[in-house]
Amino acid sequence: MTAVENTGLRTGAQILCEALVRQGVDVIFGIPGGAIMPFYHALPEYGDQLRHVLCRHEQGAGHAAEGYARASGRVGVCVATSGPGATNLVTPIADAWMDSSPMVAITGQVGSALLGTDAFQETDIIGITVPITKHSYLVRDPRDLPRVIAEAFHIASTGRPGPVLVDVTKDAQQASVVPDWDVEIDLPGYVDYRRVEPDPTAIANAAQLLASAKRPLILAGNGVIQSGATVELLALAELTGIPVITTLHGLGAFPQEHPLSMGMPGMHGWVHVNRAIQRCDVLLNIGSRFDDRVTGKASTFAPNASIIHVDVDPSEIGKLVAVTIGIVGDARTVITALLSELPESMGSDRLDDWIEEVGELRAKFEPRQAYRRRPDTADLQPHDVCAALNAARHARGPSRIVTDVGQHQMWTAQLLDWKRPRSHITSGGSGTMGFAVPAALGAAIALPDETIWAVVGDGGFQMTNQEIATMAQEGLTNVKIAIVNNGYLGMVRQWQQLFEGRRYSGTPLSGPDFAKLAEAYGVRGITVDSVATVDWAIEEAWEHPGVVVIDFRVEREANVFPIVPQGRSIGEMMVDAHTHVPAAVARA
Amino acid sequence: MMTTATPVKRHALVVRLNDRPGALYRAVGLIRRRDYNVASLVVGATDGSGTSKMVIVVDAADLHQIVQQFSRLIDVLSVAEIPYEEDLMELFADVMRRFDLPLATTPKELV
Repeated sequence: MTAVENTGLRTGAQILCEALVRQGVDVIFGIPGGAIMPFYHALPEYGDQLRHVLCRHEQGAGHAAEGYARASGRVGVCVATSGPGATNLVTPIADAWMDSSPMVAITGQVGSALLGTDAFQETDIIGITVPITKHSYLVRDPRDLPRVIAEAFHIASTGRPGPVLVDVTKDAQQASVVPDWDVEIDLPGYVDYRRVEPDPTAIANAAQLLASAKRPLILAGNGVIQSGATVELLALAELTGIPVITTLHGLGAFPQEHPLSMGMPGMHGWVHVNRAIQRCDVLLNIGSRFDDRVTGKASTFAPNASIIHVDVDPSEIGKLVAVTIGIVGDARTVITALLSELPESMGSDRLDDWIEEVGELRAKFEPRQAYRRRPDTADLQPHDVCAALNAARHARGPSRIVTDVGQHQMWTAQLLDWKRPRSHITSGGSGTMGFAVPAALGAAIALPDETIWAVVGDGGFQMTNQEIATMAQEGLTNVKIAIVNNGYLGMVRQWQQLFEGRRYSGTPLSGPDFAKLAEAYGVRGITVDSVATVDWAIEEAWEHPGVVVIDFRVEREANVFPIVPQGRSIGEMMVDAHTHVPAAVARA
Repeated sequence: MMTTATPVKRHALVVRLNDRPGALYRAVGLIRRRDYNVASLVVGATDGSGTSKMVIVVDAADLHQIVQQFSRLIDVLSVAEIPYEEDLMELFADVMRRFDLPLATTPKELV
């Protein structure tokens, strides 16, 4: 770096590295290849500022960047070469898009002169990712890099966060120019709605509606966590006395032990929560987008409610559910505005009847009573794994849980306690199997002082378990992987059982001995096949100074209950006959 | 607004966007995603301000959501639905007639 410093000349690759450092990036996840080689050539000069984590597959690099972002709240960065390297990033980019995770993906591209010629490893990655990126840049001139990187990070991390792709041609990385760091972000077509003052009329109307409601509910989503509004949400709930329900991505936005905490709604939400939604007269949705896994059949969702929708993305308001009041803005700003608009004291007995009704629903359908493990078997149940993990979390220091997609994801969401934001990380909107192991890698690097548990099915584990090699190479010690192994693609099998007459097409699944596989990667492997050793294994994993994989061989055909069949109203839930819930519960 | 039963109707939109590679592609992609057909499209740089203007006629059940998502694009500066008029199509058709091409046979003729 010293020789070139005198002239001020830098290669595009050096400028790219420095631009990342200037954005405060300290770690990038990636894999080199031909078109990104100049960047990798420059990288060692910045080695003390930019840690490069060599992943085993670009999908792993992308999910690791997501895990890093979701755990820390900062922008996750992944790097790949052109062609197949770039296309392997498509799944994590789509995942970050659906879950509004701040991500900057940097890809190498063939030389400018070869663009559009079907050159070796040329893929139009910008064209491919247009529908799943917030924005993207093709950089052919290294002079553009300081501005492009500044804009990319600004776009990825502000407003509704999301992925931004920066595709840099090889010649732009190689050419030397004198960079101009005095860049101005000039994006006239972009509004950072976090900074936009919410409409005071809408705030006043919403406050009035909330104050006069008889059966109000607050629905809190990812937006509350992304905007850091958990303290404000707690204040709003306590001032108004309104019960709070939290979506899958909202878990941790409101402390679950709080008397006003109701739990999760939706397809695998609790019966009492879905019942409360169908009964409520005002629903205040803060930072959640009425996903169909939350609403069930949208036209039957909350039929008695006036809906207030707070979202940082104006295009979400009125998209799926007709709203009475739409408020565009950042969750924290809007809640703060509501708090100042509402009276200082709202009367403690105002909602007594509703709280009593909700309490009765809850007592009748209390999750841990009604949906406990099946009492008619001694076999290891997924519920046993979740219960033991939950108990160990309370006894131990800080930890995060990263889940994959499928049955284990729902059991984990249902059966663990969620008390603080960013403690639950999962692939929600995209439902990407293979997310958990690499996302846990990213979270572990973001939070080296915490223990990161990946809970994953045997199907998802086999999609991206190669990233254990990355963990081993990086010398990580704070990742523990719990495989809920039932030898099936379990969620699909469950649907086949419940809705397709047990036609198990394509779902029975074999695998290697996962403990031995772990040992082959140079990490600790444990197999658990009885209830008796579950607690021991989790304690052992927590104690062990290194990555641990536990293969929990659970009952093969355990199901996730309750469940709303796809396309049906959330008033129509199916529950498990084995857990002795009155038959009436199964009907709306 | 959210049902698919709404009948398909002809809509016209005016969009001001950055005069940059990729801007048109992003905008039109939103139409394609919904499987709507573009009946007519005119786009061009306007007044030297670094922006271009696009007039697009689409056969669609409902454009509300697309208009919302247009404004989410960073290259889109403003968007408005305008009343659709037959004159608009006539105007476009005039231009089309000036540059006529034969229907392609196989292999395609380069004319």
